[in-house]
Amino acid sequence: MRRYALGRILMVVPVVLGATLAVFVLTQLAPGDPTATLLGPNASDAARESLRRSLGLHDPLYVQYFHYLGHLLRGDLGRSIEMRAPVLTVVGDRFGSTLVLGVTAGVVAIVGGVALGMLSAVRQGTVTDRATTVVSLFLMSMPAYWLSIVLIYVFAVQFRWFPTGQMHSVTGGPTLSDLVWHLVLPATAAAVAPLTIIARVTRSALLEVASADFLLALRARGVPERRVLRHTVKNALPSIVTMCGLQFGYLLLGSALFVEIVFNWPGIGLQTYNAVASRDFPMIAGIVVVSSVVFTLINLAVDLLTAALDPRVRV
Amino acid sequence: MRYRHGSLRGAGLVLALLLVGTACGPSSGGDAASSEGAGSSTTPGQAKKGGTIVFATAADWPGMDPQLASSGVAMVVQNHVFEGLVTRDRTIDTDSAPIKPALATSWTVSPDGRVYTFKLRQGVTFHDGTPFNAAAVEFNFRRWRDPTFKFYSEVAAGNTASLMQLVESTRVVDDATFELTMKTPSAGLIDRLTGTSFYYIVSPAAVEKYGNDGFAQHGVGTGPFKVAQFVRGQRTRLVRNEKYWGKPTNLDEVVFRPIPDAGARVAAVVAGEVDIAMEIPPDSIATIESSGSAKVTKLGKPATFTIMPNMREAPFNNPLVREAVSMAIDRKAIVDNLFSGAASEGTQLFGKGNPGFDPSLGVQSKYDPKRAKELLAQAGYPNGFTTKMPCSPAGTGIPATDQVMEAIQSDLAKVGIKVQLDMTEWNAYITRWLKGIPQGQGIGAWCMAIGTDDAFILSMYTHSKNSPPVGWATGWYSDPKVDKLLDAADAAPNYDGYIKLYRDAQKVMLEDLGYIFVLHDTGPYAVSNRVKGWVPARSWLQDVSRAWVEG
Repeated sequence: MRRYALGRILMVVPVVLGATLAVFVLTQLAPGDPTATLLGPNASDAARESLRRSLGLHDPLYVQYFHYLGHLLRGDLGRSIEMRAPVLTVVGDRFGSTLVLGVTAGVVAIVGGVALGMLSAVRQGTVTDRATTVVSLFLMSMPAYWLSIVLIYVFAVQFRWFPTGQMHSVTGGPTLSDLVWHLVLPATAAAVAPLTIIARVTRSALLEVASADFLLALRARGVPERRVLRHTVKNALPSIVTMCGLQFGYLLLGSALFVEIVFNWPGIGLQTYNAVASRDFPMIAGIVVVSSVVFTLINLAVDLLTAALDPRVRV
Repeated sequence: MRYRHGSLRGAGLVLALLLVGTACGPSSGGDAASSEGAGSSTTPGQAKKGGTIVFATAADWPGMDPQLASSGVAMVVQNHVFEGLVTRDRTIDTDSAPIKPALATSWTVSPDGRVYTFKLRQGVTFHDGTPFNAAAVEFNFRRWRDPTFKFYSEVAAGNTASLMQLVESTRVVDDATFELTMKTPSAGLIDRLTGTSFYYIVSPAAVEKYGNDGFAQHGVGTGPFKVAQFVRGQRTRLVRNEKYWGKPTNLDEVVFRPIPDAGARVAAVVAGEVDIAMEIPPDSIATIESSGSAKVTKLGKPATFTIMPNMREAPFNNPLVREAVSMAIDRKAIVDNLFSGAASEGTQLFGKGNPGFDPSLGVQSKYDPKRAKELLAQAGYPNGFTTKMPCSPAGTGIPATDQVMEAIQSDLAKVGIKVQLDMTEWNAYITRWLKGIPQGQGIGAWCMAIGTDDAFILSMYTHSKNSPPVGWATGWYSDPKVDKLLDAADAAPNYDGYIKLYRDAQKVMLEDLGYIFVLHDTGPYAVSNRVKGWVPARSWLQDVSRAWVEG
């Protein structure tokens, strides 16, 4: 196990390095001049030139990349061109909000998905199972931003049970109940798709294991059904855990992006949108690097967990 | 070109459609408020003290430094915290906001039009308690134009460059007097100083304390509101400045909230979460009005959607062709069908609210496709021609730019002009646009939304000295008659004379159709019925300091 873990951890390095390189190359390839956005068309060529110099946009690309990497290793993600503040501070700040939303949605998706999947599996073939399947398929195909809009329309505009967006009320201090009130709709919007996917995977994993020979053998030996179920779950767990981890990563860094924009949630998704719109290279790069590290770490955790659950993986 | 407003429209449209659905439903009882004139909110009544206005903007703003403002949205927010030497009164309901003294109580101009002497208001303090005086003004000028200054800001200098390069020197005469010497006669100075937030005065002590970059997190000015809390991307809470030199505002607070998604913005208005919302998509106007809790104003804004022909190359260098194109565009259909009336047909370069706006001018060309065909034949194109028109679907600030361009494309096809639209993302487009239309690539015209609060914008687009890479005449417009009038305007004896000459220059420019003006944005705002004493200014900047709330 230790060797497997070590190997797996070492694999993180090239993945993250690859991500930094990809980000760097992509932002360089994009057309458009950041000084045009920053200084506006009024600026003289001299002013543009001086800004380019002070931002280091004149150095050869590989020099810019190695500079960037060097700073990265020291925990310095650079300064946001537009916000004139350290990228790490902004990203760290925004990541907190994304975590609040992502973890809430993740817990809902995992608990709900696993529960629903188990219910479906246990009641295989019944009306409950079919209804769950149909509803899951419907919700799974619904893009998060569309669902967000529907939720706003129904629960914020029509019933006015929840606010249309933001993380806190405009006035008054940030209390927990206020946060929860603001969290309900975006967390639901972000949780639905992963929840249904987890439910589907849980169901099929359980059913696959359920038809395995070793369960027949257990039953033949007169093992009580309760214990049979425990064996079933234990054997289905690795694929469920893998899917949950993967979905959590996507949820945190993928679907949350759209949900954050529609709900104006001050997280990493909204920040990404702003940074791209203003061509804030260091910010875009910082976000992608931090996101890829987080994503890689989530996957690492999932792999290690799976390995702990399933000895076959470690070989 | 105008200040950028970011917006994410796709999702918004869907929500808007959903909301329109309910507008017709049974739940939409109540009297539909009329938007006409929006006079009701200006009816004089007893102003009430206290209360908060929540103001939803169409985009985020990076900070509270008015000199670095990167968008019109930033200026709307900062206009409440900062002031310039001179301003325009944007609190009153008028199509042409008058010039008004602010931090300067009066000013005199030397007979040669070069030396401006400002008498500064006494007893004014910044929000941090430090005094406003001539040294503070000098500090701000150095921030704009002195590269050796410790607090010189490249971005602020870039924003103010077109004016600062005309400044010869500045001088602190005494605590209450500041003198500005220009290199050439500059009758347009006051026009320029009042058009944007770039020339607003910031607290020198606060810049020294927080640094050039850090200042934007605090925003210390002299205005009727001071910054209580700035949370980027979430809200900026402004509270009443009790020590304001003028009449203190009635409001306890104004909270600015960025809601970039148009549909979410409309939803927030309908749900009563915000009192004022900007950039209301035309297809949501009916929804908001039928909610009974808010109305939508369509008063105007200096923003004109324009086709900028390539003046250097055939076929657009032929005035007959330009006239044909202008006649072939069915402006009324575009305004009615795409904007539900939240725009007006293009008459000129200046939009409503700009001091140069000439209300006597009619639509630039009457819609007449038959005559357009004749003109094309006369110009030697009886069968029309094929041309390219690059544009950007979002970023000009005009809603549904892509749909407007498609309407134009289909209008022009009817007279035989086949247009290939070349839609690119805004940043890429603007970089290209600034370089001017390249030769030999078959590009017939650009698209752009033109407009700022100052008449000088005309010079940026038409004076031959403002051809790329310096200015914005990126279709290579140039006319010695226009140049002459604009140069004469700078030497005019006063501001009114300056504005008159700018209008004259525009008349000349309209004759040769070097620009084809499609429509003027009316800048729809949703205003809650509880907001009293306020209508939006016909401006990129807004001022709610004289408003109050009821209920």
